[in-house]
Amino acid sequence: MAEQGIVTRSLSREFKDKAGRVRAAVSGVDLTVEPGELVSVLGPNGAGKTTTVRLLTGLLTPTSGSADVGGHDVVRERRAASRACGFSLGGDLGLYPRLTALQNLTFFGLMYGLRGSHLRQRSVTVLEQMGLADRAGDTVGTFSRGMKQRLHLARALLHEPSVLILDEPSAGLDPQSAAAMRRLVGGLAEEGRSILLTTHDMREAEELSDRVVLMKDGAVHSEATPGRLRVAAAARLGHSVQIIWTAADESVPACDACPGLLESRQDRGTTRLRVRDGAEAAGWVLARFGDQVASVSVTPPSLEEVFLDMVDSR
Amino acid sequence: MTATTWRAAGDQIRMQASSPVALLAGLIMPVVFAVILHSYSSAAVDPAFAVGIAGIGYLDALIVLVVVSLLGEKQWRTLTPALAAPYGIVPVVLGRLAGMTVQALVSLPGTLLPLALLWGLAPGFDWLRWLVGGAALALATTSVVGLMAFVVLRFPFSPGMTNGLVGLLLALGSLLVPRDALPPVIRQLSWLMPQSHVMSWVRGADAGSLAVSFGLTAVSLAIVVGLVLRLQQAVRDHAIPLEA
Amino acid sequence: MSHPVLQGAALSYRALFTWLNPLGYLSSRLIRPIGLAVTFAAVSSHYGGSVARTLVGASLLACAHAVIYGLALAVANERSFGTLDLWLASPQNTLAAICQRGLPHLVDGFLGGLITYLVCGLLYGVLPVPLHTFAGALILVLVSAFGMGVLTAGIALLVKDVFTTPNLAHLLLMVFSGTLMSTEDLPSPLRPVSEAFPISHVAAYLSGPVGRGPGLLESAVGEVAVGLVWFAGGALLVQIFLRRGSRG
Repeated sequence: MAEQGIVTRSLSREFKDKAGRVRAAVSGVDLTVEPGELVSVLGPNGAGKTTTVRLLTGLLTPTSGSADVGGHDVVRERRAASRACGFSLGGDLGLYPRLTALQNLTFFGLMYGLRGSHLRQRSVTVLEQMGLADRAGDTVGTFSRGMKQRLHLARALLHEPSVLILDEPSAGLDPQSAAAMRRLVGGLAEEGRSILLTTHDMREAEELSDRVVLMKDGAVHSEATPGRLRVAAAARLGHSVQIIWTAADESVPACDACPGLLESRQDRGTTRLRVRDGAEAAGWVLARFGDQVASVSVTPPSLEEVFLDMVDSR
Repeated sequence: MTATTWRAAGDQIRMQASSPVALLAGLIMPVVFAVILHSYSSAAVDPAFAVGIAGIGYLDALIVLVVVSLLGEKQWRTLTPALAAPYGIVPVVLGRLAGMTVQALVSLPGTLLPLALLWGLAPGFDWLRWLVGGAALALATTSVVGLMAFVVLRFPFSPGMTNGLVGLLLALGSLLVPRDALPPVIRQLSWLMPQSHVMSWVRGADAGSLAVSFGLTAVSLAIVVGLVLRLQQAVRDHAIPLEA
Repeated sequence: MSHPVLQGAALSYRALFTWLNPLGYLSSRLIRPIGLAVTFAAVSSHYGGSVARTLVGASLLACAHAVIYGLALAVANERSFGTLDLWLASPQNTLAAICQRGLPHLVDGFLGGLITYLVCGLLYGVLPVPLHTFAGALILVLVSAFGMGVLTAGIALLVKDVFTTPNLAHLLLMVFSGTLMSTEDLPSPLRPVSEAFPISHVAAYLSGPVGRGPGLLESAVGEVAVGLVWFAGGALLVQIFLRRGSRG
């Protein structure tokens, strides 16, 4: 569906604080989201995620650099870029509580130039897509958080944008609703849209993303597929090795001599090691205690560990 | 209960003391009314003029503060924990109203100063009537505007329902003119307003007017407490949300 | 409601305004202006002024206030609902959208002004000017108040405080529009300023003695010109805001 996706070139935005000092909220960000690709932007509060989203949606003009959304420059061709982009803020706000779901979509659709029967048809379609068709006539003030999140997504999809920018689509949802939301978002990427997702949910990012961009202090710290990020971080953080012994009591072997051992914990028939080289450690365990091992698994650091490592790094 | 009320009153003053719209309502708006009133009367400022103008400040400021503060409580979801406390939300609401009254009282000296500078004080200005009348009027206004607290807390999207109160109380309170200058229907209704009796006293009536105003103020405050108690029960019985 | 402009206007009114229920409308749109009109008519009557003039002026003021307040809140309430960014991020022309959102408030202003005039006329037993003349005056006031309303809406894009600007505009109108007090009572340097305010030209026409005050055409042109100037200021403010691109 999308031909252009999102491209930013040295995108920067500075603000002056009350004392007149200039502070870069976003600094030299180069980012691409290809058609059909879902990219998650992760970062601690103040990393520049929200400013980046506001720059891409035309709510802020860049101090320097440029950004294209759907093939249109967000400053020079703001309206065209806006038509190419669906934008969902999520949360309890961002909808009109006194209007019904259908009226909300009609009002927003009019803002995007949709009219008449086409607008009505699109509204019904996206409500069905989000599983809200039976609540179309209910006022949004009566909706649960999960229903509001789905309506946010419906609103973002209403004008059939090729690019979606989603800000924490599953924030505050119960596990079942969050899983349903992830399925919905995943399905949208498969339809060929370019999706930029900001989230604090590492599981969501790992499950959905083709690529993850880690931001810190207004700049891109690192970017890669979730798997690549984890493997790359293993060089610094080591691997986790979990050994389940056949004997589930205190008499399990000690692994203090394991090569490259960084940390060891033992708990009733299970030993968890953090080691520099997972393959080497697993080989050592199997060679020394093979007959006592029920299973051994090696995993690189989780995305959450990668994230925390980035936050702690200077 | 008393500690909670004091705390709520203190918080109210701390949070809203410099609210631009409250200052506009409590100081600038009444002075504008004074300019218009003076274009008709052209007299020096007597206690009735000064207290009546301060009364407009009370009215505007209290209405704004009730809406802003109590909607804030609803938006911050601070009423739900208060409801779970031993005395519920009554001390919080009363404390808020007490804090708002203190804030509104700023209008009394705050409007007298520009009025005196513009047109001078009338000879023999009765400071006692100004001070006692001003304080009694602030209490009376709080007791009536307090009824609005219930509306704001009980109903979603209620601020729009309360806009008319300024006009209604302005007409019924006989703040700018004596009661007998009002049209007949309004004159009769104004008897129910404690403000109109305070203003009668400030304009020279005997202490009986002041006593009636205190009585009506007490009745109005009792109705406020009753309504808030009833709201508490309704929240518990019918799961009415206390959040905006 | 099939025309998209009217559909959008109606939905914005329903979405953004809390007084759209019988009690809210009665309270906000009718009782408030009637109360103010009764108060000032009583002041006028008590001090031997012209009740007729005050009733007409207060009713015109009710009309202007509804339009200005409505337009300011049509933007400011978007902030309250957290939808301002979504609206501004849409391809809709912001100035055109503000004008669209003003349409229901024109109806509100006309009805509010007319009802205030009729109710106060009933209370005081007098209709100072014929109804059709008053309706014509209301239409001219709608034009000038709309201009000022667009300016307050532009300010609402910048200023987070919802109520200060429209209330300030109302206060200025009370003093400078010649409705509640004669512009003759203003200090002489301020008298010309009043001509830049909505209602002032219509009020001068309605309150002036026949043949000696400004003529109908002169007043109508003056009122429309005032509206256009305020509208131009508002449009400029909206463009400056959008160019700055720094909507906090």
